[in-house]
Amino acid sequence: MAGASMKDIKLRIRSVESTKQITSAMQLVAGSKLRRARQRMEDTRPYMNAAREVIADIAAHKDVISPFFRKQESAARCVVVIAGDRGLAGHYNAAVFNLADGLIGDDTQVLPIGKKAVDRYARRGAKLVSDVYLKVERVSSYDCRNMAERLIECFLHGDYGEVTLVATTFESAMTQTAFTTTLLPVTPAEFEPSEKPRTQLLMEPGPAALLNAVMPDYLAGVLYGAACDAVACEMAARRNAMDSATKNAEQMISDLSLSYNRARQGSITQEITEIVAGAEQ
Amino acid sequence: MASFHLKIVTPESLVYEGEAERIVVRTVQGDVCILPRHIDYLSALGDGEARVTYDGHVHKAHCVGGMLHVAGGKVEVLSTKFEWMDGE
Repeated sequence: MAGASMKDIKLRIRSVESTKQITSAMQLVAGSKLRRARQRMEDTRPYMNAAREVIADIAAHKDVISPFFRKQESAARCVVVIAGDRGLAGHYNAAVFNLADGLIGDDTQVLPIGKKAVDRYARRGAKLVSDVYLKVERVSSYDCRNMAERLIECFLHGDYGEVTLVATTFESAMTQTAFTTTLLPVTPAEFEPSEKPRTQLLMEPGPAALLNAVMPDYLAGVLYGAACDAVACEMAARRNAMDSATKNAEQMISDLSLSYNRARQGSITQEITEIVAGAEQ
Repeated sequence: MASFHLKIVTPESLVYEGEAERIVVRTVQGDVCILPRHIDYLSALGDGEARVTYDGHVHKAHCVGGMLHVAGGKVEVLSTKFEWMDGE
């Protein structure tokens, strides 16, 4: 009995060891990708902050009448879902989908970004705005610009009354939180300026026309920023998941080695007992 | 020579931050030149050439879309694409 079980345990140790090799390699890869993704994410910050300031300046003019500030009649909604390209990243994708599924109804259109999101909503038969954004990592600012123009066109046309974004925000390498935010209509209250509106601000052309002109840029910036955040989150989530998988594998190997040694000791003891018993006869 | 603080950013990166003496950009309504002590100003950018003067030299760039924002003497150019022509 002892011999067969020893062999079994040895086999298990070997298989856990090769799994551990894979998880620790994935952890290293995710770690280095995370470094790059974080850099890219931080590079988008100055633009985001400046763009928000511009929109805040326009929104501070209380008399601006713009379709961007008004909810459209249509009850339909468009949800932009930014998820990962691959699995094995802990609950990263699941957290995004949990939030997104709560928003998606029968007359909802979905703009999925990332392979996991595209696959999921295509499989479910949701109405997709586009299914070409398969790689979050590869989404360029031009792609975002195209998306923004399309969303704005459909929004102004009244195809949907609201555009919502579901993505993940990078708080730290250990914490990433899935969130939803309304992209359109823009709520002026969201941009409460810290100081009182600058009365001396000269706008060319007028506020409403200006808003029409800068809105695609702003929205593209928001989408690009969210995509960069999402990539960093995915990598961080994968690194953490693989880190704990590697630790679990180590724990398992040490437990298995213990039972292996115990089984080995048991078989030796048994052999000795048998020999002694044979000698006594 | 008088100068102002200029910041040029694109979604991908910070292109330039520092003092500048003059900037000419194409807005949706035509070329606009910003000099030091300009009043607070906001405009949308079209596609065209941008000319930035700093360190006494004019630097040309290709600028696509975005916004021009002057606030409190600081100038921000938020462009979808901003590429120096002289390969800087």
